[in-house]
Amino acid sequence: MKEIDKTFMNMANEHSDQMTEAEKQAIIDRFYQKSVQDENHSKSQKIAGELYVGKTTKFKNFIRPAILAAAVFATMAGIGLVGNKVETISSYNNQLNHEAKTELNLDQQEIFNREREGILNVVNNAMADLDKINENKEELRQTGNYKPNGDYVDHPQPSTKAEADGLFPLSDLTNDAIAQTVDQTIEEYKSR
Amino acid sequence: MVINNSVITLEDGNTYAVIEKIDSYIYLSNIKDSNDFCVRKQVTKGDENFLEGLDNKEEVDQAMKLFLEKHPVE
Repeated sequence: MKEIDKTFMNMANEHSDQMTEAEKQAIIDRFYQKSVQDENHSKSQKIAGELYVGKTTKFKNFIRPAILAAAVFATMAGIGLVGNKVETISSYNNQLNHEAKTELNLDQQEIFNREREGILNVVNNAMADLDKINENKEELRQTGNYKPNGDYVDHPQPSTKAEADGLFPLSDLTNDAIAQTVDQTIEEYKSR
Repeated sequence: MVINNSVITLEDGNTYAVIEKIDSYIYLSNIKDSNDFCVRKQVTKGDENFLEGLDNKEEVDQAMKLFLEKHPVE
């Protein structure tokens, strides 16, 4: 768990938790301004020769964090499903860590932590847990109490675009599914 | 405008690195500010190549989805 906190989930948290909504919106606005053809922000430029992604080690050292920041930015803008997955995993792991510390005894916590060591194992577990989350979401959806976007059926306010895209916060349906998945996981470790 | 293969100076005067190319889309990141990020597309007119902005926000989103498919959880 510590390892994964140092990688992409930490980046997501850095960008999402430590920024104000105004700062996030400014980044998103600037991105679209610079990306869409516009005489003031994005003029056509003649280029000489072929552009290519740098291959040197020095360049790669720069590229990797830039790619990560771009992926996290896409999460903030609600683009695609992958960013939503990052946020879902982050929320799931945060809840799971909290529950493990408060609900499991020391022996059970030791087993829990031992089985979650290693970046690849943690990522793989998180990805596998996403399948559980999706299964639980489907179960909750079938109760008829939720709309497809996660709104309660009798909720008076419609979701904002950000909520519908699974941005911030996660939809009610996803939050409930995460909580249900955390409970199931902790129950498994209680029996160890 | 300055071209150095994998680095380009845009109209705002900042230097951007080409961090990815997918189809005709060029993904650029300000080398001094990773939060300053944009997408352009390479267009060929006659014998000349141009870097242009995308048509609209929907095309930008589509370009970012291609990017996310290639870089899912990095």
